[in-house]
Amino acid sequence: MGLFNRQVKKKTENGNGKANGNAPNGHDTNGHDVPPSPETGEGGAELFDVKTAETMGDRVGGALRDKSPHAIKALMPWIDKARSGPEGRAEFIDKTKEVAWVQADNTVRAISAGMGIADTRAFFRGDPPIEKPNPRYKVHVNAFFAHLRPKYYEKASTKFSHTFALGYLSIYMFLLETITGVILMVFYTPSDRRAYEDIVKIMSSIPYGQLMRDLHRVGAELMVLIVVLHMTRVFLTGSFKPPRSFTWLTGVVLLILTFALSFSGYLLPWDQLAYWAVTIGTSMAKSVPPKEIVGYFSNLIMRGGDTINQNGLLRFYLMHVFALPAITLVLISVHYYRVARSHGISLPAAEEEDPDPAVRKAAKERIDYLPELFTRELLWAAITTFLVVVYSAYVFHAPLQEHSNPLHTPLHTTAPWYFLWIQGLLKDAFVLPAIRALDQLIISSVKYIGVVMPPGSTIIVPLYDSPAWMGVILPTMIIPALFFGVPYINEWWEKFWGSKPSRQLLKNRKGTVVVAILSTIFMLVIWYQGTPFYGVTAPPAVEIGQAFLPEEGVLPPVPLVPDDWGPIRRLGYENLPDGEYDLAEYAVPKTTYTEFERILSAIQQEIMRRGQLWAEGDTEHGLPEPTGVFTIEQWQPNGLKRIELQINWTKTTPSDTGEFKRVIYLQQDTRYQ
Amino acid sequence: MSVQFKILIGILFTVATIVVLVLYGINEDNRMSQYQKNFAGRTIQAGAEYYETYCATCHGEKGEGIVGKGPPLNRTDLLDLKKTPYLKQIGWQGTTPDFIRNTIAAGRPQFSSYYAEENYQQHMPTWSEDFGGPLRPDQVNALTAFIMNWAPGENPPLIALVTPTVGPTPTPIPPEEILKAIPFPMPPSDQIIAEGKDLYTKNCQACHGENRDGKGPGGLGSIKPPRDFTDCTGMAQVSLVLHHDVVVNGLPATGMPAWGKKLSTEEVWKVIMYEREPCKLYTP
Repeated sequence: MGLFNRQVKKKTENGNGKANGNAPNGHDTNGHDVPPSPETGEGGAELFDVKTAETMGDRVGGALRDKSPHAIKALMPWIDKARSGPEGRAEFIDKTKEVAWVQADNTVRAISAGMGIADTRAFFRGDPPIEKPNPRYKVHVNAFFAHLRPKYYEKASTKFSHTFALGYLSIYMFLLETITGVILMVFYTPSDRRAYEDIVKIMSSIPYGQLMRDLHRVGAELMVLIVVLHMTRVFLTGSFKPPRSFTWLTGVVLLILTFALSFSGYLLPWDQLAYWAVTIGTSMAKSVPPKEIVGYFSNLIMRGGDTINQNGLLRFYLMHVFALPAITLVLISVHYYRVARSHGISLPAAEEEDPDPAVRKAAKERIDYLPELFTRELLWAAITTFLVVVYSAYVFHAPLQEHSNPLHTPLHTTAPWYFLWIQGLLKDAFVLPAIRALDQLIISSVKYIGVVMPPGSTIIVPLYDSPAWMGVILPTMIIPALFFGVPYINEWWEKFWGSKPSRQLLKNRKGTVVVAILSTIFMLVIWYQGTPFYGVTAPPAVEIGQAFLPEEGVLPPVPLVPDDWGPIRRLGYENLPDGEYDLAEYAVPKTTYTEFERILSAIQQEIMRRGQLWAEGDTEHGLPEPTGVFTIEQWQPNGLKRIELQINWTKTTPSDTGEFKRVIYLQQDTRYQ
Repeated sequence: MSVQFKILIGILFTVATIVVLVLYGINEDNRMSQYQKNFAGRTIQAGAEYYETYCATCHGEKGEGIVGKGPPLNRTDLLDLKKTPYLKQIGWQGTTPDFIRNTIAAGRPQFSSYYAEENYQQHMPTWSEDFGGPLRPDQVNALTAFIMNWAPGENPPLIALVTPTVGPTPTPIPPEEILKAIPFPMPPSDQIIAEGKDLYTKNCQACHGENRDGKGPGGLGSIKPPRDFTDCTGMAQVSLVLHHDVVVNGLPATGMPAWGKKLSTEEVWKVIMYEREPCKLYTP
């Protein structure tokens, strides 16, 4: 009988106490062998008071034998042999080693989902697999995360110079953003009264809080960059052609989702930068034609109100943390499923279309995912993590401007850098002037048939709704349609010219090269037009003020570069001596100047430059006879200075004030990078 | 690259990342306290900007207070965190910043008991949007931080707070002398009245109203409303000399400024003529 299934024994004639039903062939219900029970004497019915001829030691030994694991049971005969002498002992030790090895091998197989000790060793050494069939493939069958990845890749498709691991890095960035995002979610509340405070709390009271926020920001900007580069690579290697057309489509949707994720997250700090950039972005929704219906309602749905307020913040937050990541995850799965299972990563065209069959065969040679490519991916992850962490910790810090103020738009507000191209389109530097010129042409030509139009009349211009065309139709309909249509336009193009589908770029796809170059130039031009350097001028004195004492930190129009609060703030409280400085005295910089005096000199030179522009006739950028005074005053004894730049010039019109003042305050503890 | 090489380099980079994180973490306490100070500074700066816009007209550019308008805010008897003599006096149990923040947010239903001898005739308006005012909570907090930043500093000298701004009492000028100083013939011509209207629009209209009826927005909240110049029964009690005295010397307790400091004699009389024009009271 076993040790643990004791029964209370009744006083019966044979008293063997087996009241539970035993199978007749001597096995108990568990199927284990049951040794014949010895005769029991008369005895008490207590649980542990069993009259039996077995000693306690025998009973424990019996129980161990019954219930021991199979391995030990297998060793039992050798254990007995070991008692018999030295050869028996030697045999026992050998057998033990064998059994132990099998146990370890089974354990390793369980952990590695299919590979035994020898194969795991081969895995880490980079040797070919030992067992047949290839146990590494078993891992892909048994394990969930491994089953997502292909069992093998074709050799040429794994070349770094072919893909630059951009698809992998895109998913890595998504994972980084998810992890840092969830950490940030713990400390953030999407309330217009608390959001800004929560961000400040993250940066100032939570250990590693600033690092998490900076990582999230760096990851977001990098993800947009990497996704765009990935798309460019796929375009240039022709990896959108059939059978990969639908994968390209899902990829374009993912690009749009990446922009949407980045944009929705942009609002969450609720500072001036966030609030106004998103106000600009969502105001384009107002222009969706027909404006009174679609534009009006899409604006309301996005913002939750006429302007962005608590409702809008909550909607953007929910989009950013739940809706968009969920959709993105599903689409990444679709996209990757097609890459991993349907058509694979494309091979470099030169090798795939090489006339020599040996080259083609070598390109298609299979490399197992485990271990070479798996370790390579882990290496990329380690390197990227290191670079991103170092960059976020020491170089780039996410900006935080003043609390959002719906009543005051900062000067030169721009959309985030990846939307500057839309802002550039809105400035309409090509179509509107063309339509105006067309109008002039029509007006001057109808004179010849006797129709005289009064000066200043327009025909086509009022019909052309620039914000609708340039802000909505072109960037959200026409350009995305072109992107989506790339594989289909390409197919049609090939049919039209009767060319054989080929992915070799320079040899057979010269049209693609032209398209790539032209569209890059177009994008760069409209991106530049979106920056504050083009087409937007504030009055010249305001521009001088903005250059040296900007209203908020100025974000450069490129990603991953820190914002700039101007030379005076950067100089710092300690280096700004009190006083009233007539800037005319600083016109010519001397070598003995301190940093502060050099800045004064720079301001004076800018002022003089504007005066010069006016004298040359540029009334838009110039100022007539400008002079400047720079005042620094101790405003509070506890370390607050008032800094004022005043620019005066000769009044030219009655409405001209002739004066411009820019005031900032600087406290002794504030630091601007 | 062999598998082992990749594993080795991968481990190296992972270790490097961990080392960077540990080094960063060692400095983290220091960085956080730097950032807190940094942000406290930025809050004070923002408060200074709001103060300039919303508070300086009544409380003075540097918190020194303005006669008849608002008490000083930069003095240690209000702000000293250790002594808070004023707060103790009124029985405030909370902290000084809370007192200031609540005063700004909700305003006051009665006139100031701080420097009560000044008889401020306007009460503190409600500022926070929680109570119907124009400011957001973060703006109220910034203002509080700015005002608290005057503590503990040395008490700046009281600028003519208790005494009227006109200085020592001048020897009274007999009325005939005053009337002799009118620089144009009486009754005043239309030209004089037109010039007086120009000056009135620039200086007096804000409180005395566009229609000279005392209903200008600047005069709201005063316990003694600005003079209604169209009320002829009341105006009949105001002689030329009295009118001149009030315009030149002001009425500190009501907020009527002393225009004698800003306007010349001729300008003062022109304005007076314009103000007396509705009831045509040109005799002394």
